[in-house]
Amino acid sequence: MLQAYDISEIIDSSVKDISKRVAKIDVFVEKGEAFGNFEKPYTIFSTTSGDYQMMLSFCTDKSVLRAIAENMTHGRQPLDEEEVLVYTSEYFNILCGHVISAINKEFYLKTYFSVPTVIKGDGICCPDSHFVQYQKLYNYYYGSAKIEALQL
Amino acid sequence: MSKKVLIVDDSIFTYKEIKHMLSGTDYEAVGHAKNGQEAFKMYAELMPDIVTMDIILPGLTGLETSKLILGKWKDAKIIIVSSLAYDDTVDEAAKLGITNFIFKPFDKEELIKAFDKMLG
Repeated sequence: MLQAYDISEIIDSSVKDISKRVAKIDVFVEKGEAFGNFEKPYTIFSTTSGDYQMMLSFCTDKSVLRAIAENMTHGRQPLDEEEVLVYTSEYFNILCGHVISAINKEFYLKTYFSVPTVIKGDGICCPDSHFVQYQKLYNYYYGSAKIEALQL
Repeated sequence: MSKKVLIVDDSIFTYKEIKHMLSGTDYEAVGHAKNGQEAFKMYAELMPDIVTMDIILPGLTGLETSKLILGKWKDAKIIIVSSLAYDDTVDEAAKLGITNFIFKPFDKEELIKAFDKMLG
């Protein structure tokens, strides 16, 4: 079984790398409690199957999602609300791909992840038995975002 | 005459990005399939020179879709475009004869170079 410290570095470096390359944002971990206080939160999440089962989620304000989506398209086109969610799902999809690829490579596992799902609200309601392996609040310049990994 | 590219990806973002990258090149994005069934049908209609294939799709996976297409059109040129940079799907793709990959995120130069190599 993987421990929290096993995946912390992988998730943190993937968040920073993919945010810079895909959304053109230099993100960093905010000090203090990793909960965040969002006005109009959305959560994007994906679950994995195979050797290592977890749920990875990304929660932030709608305004941050819009900023990420617009950066992804270099401001080429105006985006409607649906496009913002589709584009930020792709950002999260790429993030998941890199996290899972790194976990598979590092620990010789075969793990797969599902197509990301977007819901309105702050976080996913999970049974208490699910162990929080990672929970950090990142500064995305336009606002904060919470990244969580729950072991299933 | 432009080479025709069929983009198989459930994300409209990837389709628009690839389409934008191909503008002004020798390649043209002629179709966007969001799942395996659409891809198979669109391949028959468009007979593209290149197919970009995502791995994780709703329904049939990208590999299952590739197998279907290659089963009917053995000379189909398929390139896997995925965020999974290390996975046994790479080995599975190789078993189907697919040896071309691009890992997300990618830029225009990488994409065109990969296409040129495929049609070499």
